[in-house]
Amino acid sequence: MKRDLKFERFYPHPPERVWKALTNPKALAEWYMENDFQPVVGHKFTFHTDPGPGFDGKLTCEVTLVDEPRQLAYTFIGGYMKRQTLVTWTLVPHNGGTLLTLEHTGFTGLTDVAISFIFGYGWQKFLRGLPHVLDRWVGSKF
Amino acid sequence: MPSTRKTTNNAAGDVFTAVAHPVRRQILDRLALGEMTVSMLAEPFEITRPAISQHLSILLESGLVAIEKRGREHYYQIRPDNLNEIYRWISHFERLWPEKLDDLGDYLDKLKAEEDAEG
Repeated sequence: MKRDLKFERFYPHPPERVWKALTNPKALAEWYMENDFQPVVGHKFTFHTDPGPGFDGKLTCEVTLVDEPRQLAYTFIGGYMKRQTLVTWTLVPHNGGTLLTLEHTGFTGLTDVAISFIFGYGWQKFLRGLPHVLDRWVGSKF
Repeated sequence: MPSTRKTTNNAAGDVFTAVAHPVRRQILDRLALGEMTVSMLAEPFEITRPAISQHLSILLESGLVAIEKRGREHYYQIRPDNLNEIYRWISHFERLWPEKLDDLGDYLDKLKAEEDAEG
């Protein structure tokens, strides 16, 4: 079982405007993250976002696909995620606006099973079976 | 650079590998019930003791499992911290993306308003 993140949104704006918001570094800094992005295949750049648990907020990226104004993709690595993940934006004209699909995939090629384990019943079971261990270890750590 | 077991934070990649194998997930399931020696652990499995030991060594490397030595026995114990961190990392993006897509919608509206004002 594969566990990828996929989101779809409709925006009442033409693909060209959405494309600009996705690829202009100043625009990206306004709604997305601080960056040194350039829409050029092979360009290496960094996104700076809010730090989270186990995550310093820095994402190291490389552009892998630029097909204006249809599709944009870059790899993405940071925090605990030692392996690269891939972020793909797909823009489809729809009813005078844009249907935008965001896919965040490849949360480790080896680990589809691991992801389903963590998200699915395994994780639930893991947590249920563990209160005593958690008390002991988590309690001593924080 | 040699990896250190003490920093659980560095082992996440290995954690994914560790839990990718069904036998290792079953080992974790069993250890979730409580600490066990390798012979207690091996009981329900139809694979050889060396095979179990090999799976255990991968789990030890990942930091998901640790050994505590008491007397002559080695007890294997589960250490959930690493798995917990990975879960947090992915759930970070599960929360982040919908928020960012909302922000994008707001930004596009603003961009349109600016373009309208200029044009």
